[in-house]
Amino acid sequence: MTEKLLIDNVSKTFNGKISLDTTSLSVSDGELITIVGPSGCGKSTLFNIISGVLQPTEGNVIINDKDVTNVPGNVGYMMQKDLLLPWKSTLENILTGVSLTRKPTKEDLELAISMAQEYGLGDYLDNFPHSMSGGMRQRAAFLRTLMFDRDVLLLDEPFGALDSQTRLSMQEWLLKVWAEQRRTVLFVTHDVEEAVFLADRVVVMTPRPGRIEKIIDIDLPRPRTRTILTDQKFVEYKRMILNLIYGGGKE
Amino acid sequence: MSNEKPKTISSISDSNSSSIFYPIISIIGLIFLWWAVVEAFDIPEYVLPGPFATFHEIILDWPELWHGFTSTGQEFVYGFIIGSLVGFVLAVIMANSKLLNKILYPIMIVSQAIPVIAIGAALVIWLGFGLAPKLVIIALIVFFPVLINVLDGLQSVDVDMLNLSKAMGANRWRIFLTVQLPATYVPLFSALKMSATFSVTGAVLAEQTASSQAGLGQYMMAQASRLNTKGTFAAIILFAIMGLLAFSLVSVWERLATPWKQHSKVPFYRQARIAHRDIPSSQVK
Ligand SMILES: Nc1ncnc2c1ncn2[C@@H]1O[C@H](COP(=O)(O)OP(=O)(O)OP(=O)(O)O)[C@@H](O)[C@H]1O
Ligand SMILES: [Mg+2]
Repeated sequence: MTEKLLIDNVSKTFNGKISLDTTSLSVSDGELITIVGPSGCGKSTLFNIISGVLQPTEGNVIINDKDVTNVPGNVGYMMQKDLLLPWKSTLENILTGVSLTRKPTKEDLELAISMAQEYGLGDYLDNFPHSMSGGMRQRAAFLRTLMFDRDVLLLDEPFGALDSQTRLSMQEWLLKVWAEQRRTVLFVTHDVEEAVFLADRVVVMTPRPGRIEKIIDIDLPRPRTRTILTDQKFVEYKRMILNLIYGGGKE
Repeated sequence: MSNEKPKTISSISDSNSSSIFYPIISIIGLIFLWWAVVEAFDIPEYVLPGPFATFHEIILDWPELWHGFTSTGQEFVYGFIIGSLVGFVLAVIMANSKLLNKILYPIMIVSQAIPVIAIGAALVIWLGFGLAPKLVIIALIVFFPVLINVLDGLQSVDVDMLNLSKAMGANRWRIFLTVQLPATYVPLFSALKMSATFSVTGAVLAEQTASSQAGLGQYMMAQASRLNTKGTFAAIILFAIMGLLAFSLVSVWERLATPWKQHSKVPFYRQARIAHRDIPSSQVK
C-alpha cells in the first residue's frame, strides 16, 4: 500500500518539558489507526502537530509525499470537544469547514443536507446546538469534519462523551463511513476495546515523556460487528494492550 | 439511534406577546404610585407636581420641549453610535495585540476615573460650545462598557475553536468574522443596553457643562432655576421616555441579532430549503 502520512521524528517541548518525545509513524492509504494511552501522553499534541496548528520542536509531517509541517488545511480534524458554534444551525455548523475557506456552493449545501439526513440529523438541520443532545452534537461535529473533504481524518476522542450504547452504534457507523469513503483515519481513544474494535493497528503511547511504546497489528477480519467483542483473539489483544498501558505484565 | 428527542426551550420564545405587556403595566403602576403619593400626602405642586399637572405642562410647552427633545436626542444618538463604535474597535484592537492591550488598558481606566464634568470643562476650552464637546462627553460614557464587554466576548472564544478553524485552513480575517465576531454579540448587547440609559445621563451632563443651545437639559436647568417644578418634571419625563425608547430599540435589535438565545431553531430565512426534495423514508421515526 502507498504511504499516505509520515510522521518523521517529530517531537514537542513545552517550556523545557518534553511533552512528546521523538516519534515516527508511517500510515498507509486507507488505514485506520487508533492511538491509546493515558492522559497527558501527548496524543492531542501529536494531532495538533499533524494538523499544522502546532509547530513541532523537531521533525516533519509528510502527507502525500509533501512536507506539510506547520501548514494547516491538509487534514480533517475533530477535537475532543464538539466546538459547534452556538449561533449556527446544525446545517450551518456542518458547512463551517467549507465556509471558512470559501463560499459554500449549492452542491455543498445539498451534500450536507443529504449526509445529515442519512446520519440521523435530518430533523435537526435548523436547530441550534444548545437544543440538541450530546450524541447529536457529536454527530454534527463529525459531519463537519467529513464535509471538510480531506483524505486524512484526525479524530480526538470523538465518542468520549457518549453513553456506551450510542458509542457502539457510532463505532459501527464510523466503520461503515470509513469502508465507504476509504479515508485514512487516526483515532485517539482512552477505551482499549474501542481501539481494538476499530483498528488496523493500535498505537500504544505512554507518558513522561510522551512516546510510542508499541504498535500492534490487529489481525481480525473485516467487516467487524459487535459479536467480535467476545472473540478469543479480540480479548487477547485487549489484555496485551492493557498490560502495556498499566504495566501489569508481571504475572 | 434516532430516539433522542431534542430539548427545546420554546417556552421562552412563547413569551413574545407578554414582553410588551408587563413593562406597560409596571409603568402605569409607577405613574399611579406617583399620583397616589402626591394625593395622599397632599404635596404642593411647587414641591412635586402630580402626573396630570406634569403632562398638562408637557402639552402646554410642547413646541419648546419637542425642540429640546430632538436636539438632545440627536446628541444622544450620535454620541451613542460614536461611543459604541470606538469601544468596539478598541476592543478588537486590544484583543488582537497583547502589547497594545497593556498600553491602552490603563489609559481606558484613567478615562473613566476622571470625572466627566472635569473633562467637559476642558473640552469646552478646546472645542467650544457646539455639538463636538457634547458628543465627546456622551461617547466617553458609552464606550467603556462596550469596550469591556466586547473584550470579554472576544477573549472568551475557545482557543481550541481558533485552532480548529486554523486547522481547516482559515485565515485570520475569516476566523475573526466566523468565530470571534459573533461571540461578541451577547456581551455587546448587554453593554449597549446599559449604555442606552447611561447616555441619557451623558446628554444631560454634556448640556450642563458644554451647551449654549436649546437642549432638553438646558430647558430643565432653566426651569429649575426659575423654581418651575412642573417644567422641570416635564423635562424629566421626556428624559425617561428617551431612555426607555433607546433601551427598547436596543432590546428589539438584540432579539433579532441573537436568535439562539431565545429559540431552538434558526429564523425561517436561514432554514434549510428542502421542501422541493423528496425526503427519503429512510428517516427513521
Ligand atoms: N499549550 C501547552 N503549553 C504547555 N504544555 C502543554 C500544552 N499543551 C499540552 N501541554 C502538555 O503536554 C502534555 C501532553 O498533553 P496532551 O494534551 O497532548 O495530552 P493527551 O494525551 O491528549 O491527554 P488527554 O488524554 O487527557 O487528552 C501534557 O503534560 C500537557 O500538560
Ligand atoms: Mg487530548
